[in-house]
Amino acid sequence: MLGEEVLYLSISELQSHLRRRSFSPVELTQAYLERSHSIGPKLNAYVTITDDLALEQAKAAEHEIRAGRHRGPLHGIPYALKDLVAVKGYKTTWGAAPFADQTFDYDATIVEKLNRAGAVLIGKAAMIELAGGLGYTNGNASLTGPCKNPWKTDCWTCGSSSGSGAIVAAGLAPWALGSDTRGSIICPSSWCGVSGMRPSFGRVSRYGAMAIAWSMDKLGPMARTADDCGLILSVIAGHDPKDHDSVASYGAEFTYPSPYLEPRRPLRVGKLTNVWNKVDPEVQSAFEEGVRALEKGGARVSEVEMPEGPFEQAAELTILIEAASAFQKLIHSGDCAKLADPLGQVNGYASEAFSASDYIQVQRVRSVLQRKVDELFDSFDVLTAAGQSDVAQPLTEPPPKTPPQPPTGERRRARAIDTKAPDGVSSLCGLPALAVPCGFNNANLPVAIQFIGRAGNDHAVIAAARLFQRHTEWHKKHPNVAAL
Amino acid sequence: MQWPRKIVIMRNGEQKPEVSRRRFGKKAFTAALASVGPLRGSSPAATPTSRAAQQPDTLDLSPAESQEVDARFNETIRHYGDRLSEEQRTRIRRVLIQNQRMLGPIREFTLDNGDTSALSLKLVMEPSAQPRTAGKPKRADDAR
Repeated sequence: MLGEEVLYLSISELQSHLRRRSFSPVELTQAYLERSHSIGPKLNAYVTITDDLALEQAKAAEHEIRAGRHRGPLHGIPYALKDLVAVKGYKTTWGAAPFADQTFDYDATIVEKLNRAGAVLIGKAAMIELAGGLGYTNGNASLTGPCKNPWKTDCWTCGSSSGSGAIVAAGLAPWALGSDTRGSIICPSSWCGVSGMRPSFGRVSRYGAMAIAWSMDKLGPMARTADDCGLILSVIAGHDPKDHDSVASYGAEFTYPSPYLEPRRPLRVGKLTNVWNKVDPEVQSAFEEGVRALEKGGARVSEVEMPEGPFEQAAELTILIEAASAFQKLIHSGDCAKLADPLGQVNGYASEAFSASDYIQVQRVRSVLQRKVDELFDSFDVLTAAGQSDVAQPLTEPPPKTPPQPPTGERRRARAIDTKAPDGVSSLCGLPALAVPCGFNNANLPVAIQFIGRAGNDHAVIAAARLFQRHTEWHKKHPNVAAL
Repeated sequence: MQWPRKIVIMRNGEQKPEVSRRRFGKKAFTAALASVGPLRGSSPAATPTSRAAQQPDTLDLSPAESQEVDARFNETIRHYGDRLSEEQRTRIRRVLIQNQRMLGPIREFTLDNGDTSALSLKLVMEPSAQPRTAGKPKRADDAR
């Protein structure tokens, strides 16, 4: 059986071993499956573990690799898929009770691409119900129960790609697919201490994936390194006529590595000084240290402000209104009452009360904001900020008056109304972003730094995060899951 | 696909959104008007809810905004009221108030007529939709 150190290797390292035949795709898959079965349930990380499919795909990969036929960077590499992506013949629950038995008779485009690349699907990752599409108030809002953070199991992973974050952090798979409408890859990656990337809007097809807000939904990788994210994106990106918002081929295709497509050196980094209303001091300190590491690595860092504007409100309203349409059948049928979260049970009713003119107004404001933000990238290759304003929060509410922290509910609300969160800006404008670990707080919970790029310039965020990881070791740390 | 933006809606009114200068000015003006009585010539139907009649959780909204919340709440209850408990109705009202707060800066944002929506029709221009060329290109000397 392969040791834990192997299971925490990056994709490129695993691929190198597979080519050298240090171990086979079947051995690798069996090791991840075994770990997924033993540790996965303790974290509520999976909805389904696809043993049979995984072994079948691993055997096929092994056969081909032995014959000298290599399909690319993901050939023979196991992965997990957020359970909002359709896989033919397997349940796709969207993390929600009303869809607990849902199946599709086709594969999502992204699954077809991964199948062609010879990747090995080991399971479908737990998630927040409907990926938070109708709202939720805490991490318990999931068909499979609260997803626990491998670094501290009484803390949450963040959502909505909760299982994907836990799976990668706990070494149950080398990478997992997440989805991000407004922060659902960046937040769990930050809280779980993994490298997570939200690609530019329209770069990765969403055909076969559950929709929340068509004009904001994105699929993206959560992995060990920024380099891994680049490799994965090179496989899953590309134009798809089945996805209305898929960008044209010249903008969707993504080749990696492509040094000639990366920013010239020195990398120009804009350190955002006016995002997040309040940042935890330990997070701020780790972030500042991270910026210094970038400078040592040769980046030219200068301070910059995000333009003023109702970014968060526009993002939030877009999601609320589009979700009311995406889940209209569920809302009208009254089956939203079966959702776990009390907010999710009623939020759709309230969202139906928005007017069409409000929605159009939001979209007009959005266009103006988009242009304002884009201008920043005339001076910078990437912008940087703390991945989140705080570290992973407790899953359960502490008893009232627990010193010294204010009650979790209030703290969450305080975070939630952060009108300066960079998530809203970058998601609203379809910008790529990548969060990577940049330290720990005193309780050994991960802290992250994020890089945001111009729309379509996914190479820049990968280059910035890779530069950071070349000069730091944070991404090599992992939790002690043996103690679980 | 998003982190708990949903909790945004859980806000209980203790924290107020940022108020722009323009919004502040508008509110101050509306409040001043409310204190001196209804506008001359305004019909009773057009008279906004007075501040005194507003519920405490909407005090940061203008009377007109508060009235809009009431209208939306009543419409929601008319549609779905038979499905909802008292607690759920209270929650919906809270959500509507929060939604109203978010609409404020959007409605105040200065837009020109030419500022288009981020959503517009995209033509389907797949290769299969392109006109087909008939066979091989003709040689120059085939041209007549």
